[in-house]
Amino acid sequence: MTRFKLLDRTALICVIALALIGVLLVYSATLDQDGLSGLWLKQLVWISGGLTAYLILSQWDYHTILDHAGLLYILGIMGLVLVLIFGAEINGAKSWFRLPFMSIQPSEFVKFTTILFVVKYFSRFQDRQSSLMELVGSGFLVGVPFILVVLQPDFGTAFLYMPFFLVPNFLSGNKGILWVTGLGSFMVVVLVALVIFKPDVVFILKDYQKDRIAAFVFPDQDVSNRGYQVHQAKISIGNGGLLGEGIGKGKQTHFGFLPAQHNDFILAVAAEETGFIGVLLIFSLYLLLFIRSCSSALNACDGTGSILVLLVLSTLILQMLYNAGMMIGFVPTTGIPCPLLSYGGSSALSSFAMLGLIQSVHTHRYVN
Amino acid sequence: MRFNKNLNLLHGRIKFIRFAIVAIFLFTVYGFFQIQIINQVHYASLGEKYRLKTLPVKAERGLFLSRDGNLLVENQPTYSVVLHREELDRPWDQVKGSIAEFLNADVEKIDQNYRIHRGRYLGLPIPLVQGLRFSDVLRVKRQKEAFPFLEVEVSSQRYYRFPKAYSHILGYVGAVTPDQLEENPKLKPGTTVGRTGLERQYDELLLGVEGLKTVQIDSKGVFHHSQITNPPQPGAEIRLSLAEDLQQKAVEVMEGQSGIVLMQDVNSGEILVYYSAPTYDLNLFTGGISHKNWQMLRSSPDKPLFNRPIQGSYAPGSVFKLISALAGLQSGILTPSTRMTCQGVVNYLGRDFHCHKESGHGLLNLSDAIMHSCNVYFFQVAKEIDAQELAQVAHSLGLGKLTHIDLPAENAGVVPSPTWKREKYDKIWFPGETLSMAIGQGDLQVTPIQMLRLMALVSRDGLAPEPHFLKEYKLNGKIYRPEVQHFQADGVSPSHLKLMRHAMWRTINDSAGTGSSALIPGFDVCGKTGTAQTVTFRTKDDRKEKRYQNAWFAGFAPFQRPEVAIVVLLEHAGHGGEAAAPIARQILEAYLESPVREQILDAI
Repeated sequence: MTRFKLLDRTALICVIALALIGVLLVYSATLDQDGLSGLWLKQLVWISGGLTAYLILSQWDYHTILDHAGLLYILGIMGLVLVLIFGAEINGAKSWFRLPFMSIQPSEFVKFTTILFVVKYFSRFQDRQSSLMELVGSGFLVGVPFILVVLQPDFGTAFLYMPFFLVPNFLSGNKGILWVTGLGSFMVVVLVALVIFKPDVVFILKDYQKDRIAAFVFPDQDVSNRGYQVHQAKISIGNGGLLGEGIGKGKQTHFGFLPAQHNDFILAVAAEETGFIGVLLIFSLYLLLFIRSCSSALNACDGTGSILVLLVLSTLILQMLYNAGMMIGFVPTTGIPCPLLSYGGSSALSSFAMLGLIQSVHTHRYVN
Repeated sequence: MRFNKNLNLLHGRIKFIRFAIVAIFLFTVYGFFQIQIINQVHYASLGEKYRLKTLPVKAERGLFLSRDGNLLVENQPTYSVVLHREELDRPWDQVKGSIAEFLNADVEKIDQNYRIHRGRYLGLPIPLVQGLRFSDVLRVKRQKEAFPFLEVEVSSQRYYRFPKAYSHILGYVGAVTPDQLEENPKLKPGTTVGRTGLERQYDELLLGVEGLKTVQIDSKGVFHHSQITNPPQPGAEIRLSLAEDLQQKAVEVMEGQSGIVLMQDVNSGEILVYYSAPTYDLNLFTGGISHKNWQMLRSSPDKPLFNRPIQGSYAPGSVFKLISALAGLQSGILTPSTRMTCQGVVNYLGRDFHCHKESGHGLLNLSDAIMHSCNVYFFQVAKEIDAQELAQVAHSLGLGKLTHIDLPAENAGVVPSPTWKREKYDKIWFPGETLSMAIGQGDLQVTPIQMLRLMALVSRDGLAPEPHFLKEYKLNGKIYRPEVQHFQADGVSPSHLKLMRHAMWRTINDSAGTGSSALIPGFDVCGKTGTAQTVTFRTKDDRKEKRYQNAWFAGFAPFQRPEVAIVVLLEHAGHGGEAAAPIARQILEAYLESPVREQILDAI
């Protein structure tokens, strides 16, 4: 029995629209970059694959998928270990398997497998709240892939694993857990403040990591290094104005001032070429997708489904908001692409797959 | 029950998260709004600062035209090889050797060019070799793959259409020197400026005004497309008074000689012919003269670079007798009918002063003395005349004074006098010096251009426009005609000048006159010849040596209503009447047939 009739069509349309906007932006961003001009076609292939995975997963009962979560989790961990040993080093990080026809970033797929395993772990808390012991347990579950990704080192992606620990504990935890997580978050804020104002005190971070954090605070002054990217991104956004310069006509984009324009900084391309109107459209699509998915979570047939939806949402929306915040200098620059929009096969496949899980919860909302 | 309670709790927390995320969403959108709408102008202009550079656009150097509007100089495209630094795949020091070999150029020279220009924007090409031969241009283009960072570029360079005929008039150009840069803040390094001649005189008019272009530069500094935002103003088109056909005639007749030919329209002061021989090839200088050629021109014994008409100071010889005659008339020593006898020699204070005719001219009046160019007649005038007064008359007729012709580096010459000698050398004036001076020898030094002005003054009763080349110039579509300055021969009586003109007519038209070889039937040429000795004669034979004598002819024509003045000087050529006068005749004959004459007659 197919459940296509039960699909959340609004969410589906949002996802497809965002992915196609992404293809258009990748096309424009790579228009005059030698050797990259065919990238939008590749991206089209990736999103077709992603959409297929999305639709298959939406038909599949997530309870059945969760039965295999343990195996998938182990496979994911193995992938991360192998990439540390055999991975190709790109920009100083061993994050990729370089295969003849494509490159694979296991940390993206590990998001998917970790979510499933964490949800499976938390599915026991249907009728009670989790306790501190289980907080430690979930911390271990998320901690293993987290540390493996940090070892690559890829802080950006590792950062996106944090909701896998925080969100389920927040959703099903008792008061003790709320206190502990609250206190932990507070300490992170204090750490960041120290890095900015008293960097010498913080010895657990390396200098370049401190620089990254510091550069986002005053990006317009420090145009030499890290701040330069944000500075140029802000110029691109400002250049777009209300209506934008038109696709393929952004001066910042096409004279190469904008860094990593077809992946991490694709939102700045959107801002320059389609203006604030385009930015509003993209944000509205994301927000609509988010709201619709929250409804799926609230209408799920069990708590497991709700937690699954929230986990997917938290990592994707966090990723999107973090990426957007990076453009405007709200948060430090790190290699986090914008989900669905940025170029990247692994990222597209895993994003679609994770969103497919939400649709699975949605189509299985009625207990039959 | 617990189940439901737990689910409610879960849903509450989901709603909390939803609320928080929506809030962050709105906050982020506001962040975009702030940059994109509120501070849009600030960020957009910051971007322009990085992307747009304003660079100068060279103005096309102005041109020179002949009297009839034909181009005397052109700006020709020249090929140079430029280096695109951003495309270099190896460090410069590693490739410069092979580039030099490929271009048949000197490694040090291209390295020097590289170092001079490397401070410029990365995207601006660096000129390595200029003035490339066309065959090399093709070769560089064919082998583009071997040196992808090299490119052939076209720029403009002076090309003189008659490279030798107008050399001393037009002069040559060169790159601006550090001194000039300091002097004139408007000049920029690398600008082509006039070094000599009219190129230098009218440099300011010729330079034009640089324009501006806006260049798009990408993040690597690579130069993309440019747009001229402020078009350059080309330099002026300067129309000269020179008559091409007559100038060409002068070149022909002076072939193999050294000397000058000058011809002027006496009524306007416009110079028709200005030729200094030997000449040099102006095109040797475009794109920078080679060291070898420069040394050759500089060390050549017949001084081709020397601008004789304005820089050469020569003893005027017998032409000066006109001044002596005027001074004699003015002081009352002479009247038109004063007669004296020439016996070939005159003794003064124990020294013999010779006439060029050993047997003597016999009895002569003033007009006869000028016609025969008798030395003795003027020696006798000089015995009585005050040297100071003689110098005074020479000065008032413009000798020893700049003509302010529109050429740089004019020489004033010297008119000696007792005062001058005392001031200059602190020596007293010997009476014998007055005798030498009276026949145009001694310390007396004039420039040929002064002689030309003298002829104009004589022909025009003492008031004549100063000689000049500039007829008019066109700048930004408007034509300008500068006002011409006049020279007034103060205190010289027109009736005395009329007497001179008559004597000068006889000099040419009387068969006994020294200038009879300048005779043109039907065209009343008036003139005076001169044979100026350049050394002190030691023997009688020296007097016959041509190489010790400069031949002068100075005159005007026709007698009634004069049109043109002419001066011919041949260095080391012997007698003025024999060497210079025939050349003057040929030029005047050419003038008679030239369409220029009609223009001049129309203008009178």
